[in-house]
Amino acid sequence: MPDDTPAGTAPALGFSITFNIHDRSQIVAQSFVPFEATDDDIDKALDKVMRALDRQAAKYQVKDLRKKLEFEEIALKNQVEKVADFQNAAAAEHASSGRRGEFKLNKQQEVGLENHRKTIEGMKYNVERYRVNIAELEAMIR
Amino acid sequence: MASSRRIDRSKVPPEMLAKAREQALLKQARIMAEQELGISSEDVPVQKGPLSDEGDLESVYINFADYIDRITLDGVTYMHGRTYELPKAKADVVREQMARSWRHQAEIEGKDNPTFYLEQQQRNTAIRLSPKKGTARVQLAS
Repeated sequence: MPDDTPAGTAPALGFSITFNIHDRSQIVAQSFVPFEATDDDIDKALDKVMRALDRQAAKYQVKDLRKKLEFEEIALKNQVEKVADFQNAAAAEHASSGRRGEFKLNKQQEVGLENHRKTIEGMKYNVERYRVNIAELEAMIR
Repeated sequence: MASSRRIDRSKVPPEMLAKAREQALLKQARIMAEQELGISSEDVPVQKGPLSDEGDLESVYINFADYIDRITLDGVTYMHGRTYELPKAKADVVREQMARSWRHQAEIEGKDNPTFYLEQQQRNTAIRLSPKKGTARVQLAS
């Protein structure tokens, strides 16, 4: 193919970006800007390519996050049930022990219950975080 | 040693009690015979498992490498980023697992341990005070 570039024209600045979309896929994006391009022009071109790549990655990330959210919601539900079981077991132990007086958790049970509560807090935090992340990614894809 | 639990004798039929007495005597006779033969295990104190809930409680800030967000011990989940009160045996297990997670992270990042730990410490350090216990400890926080 004949080269019709006028003699003396400055070469373009080329760039190549390798982007890992997820563990099985990779995209290589290539583009260029004129050699005389300002820093702003270069930034604009790179931002445009990166936005396109981020959008592609978001499609996969949102799937992963939805799955994580589903698992975390199940884990949270189980954890809440576990706390209820824990309290019921403590109450049953008190009832069967024949001890008189108002039911009260002992020190070890109190610490155990507090630890369960902290775990629930952590799981709730994760659920909220996943929801926010999913919303952000969905906004990006649209 | 007599049990301090209150026993409601009215709920136990006499024939059942007679049978239980007989079984208890048989058990005692078996222990005596085994002791005479030097094969008794009844008088050997039972050592509870290494993850028993005995011992003083310790405050542990759960701080795993990025790829882990929780640890489950004996069916109880402990979330990353929370501070739990744990018996010493469990606290030691959690600390060991946290150290192993960071070692793994250092390995996959191709860094030697001292450099890696220094980076983590510089990233974020928290000082935790326990006025009740009179302790102060510098811990990593994510």
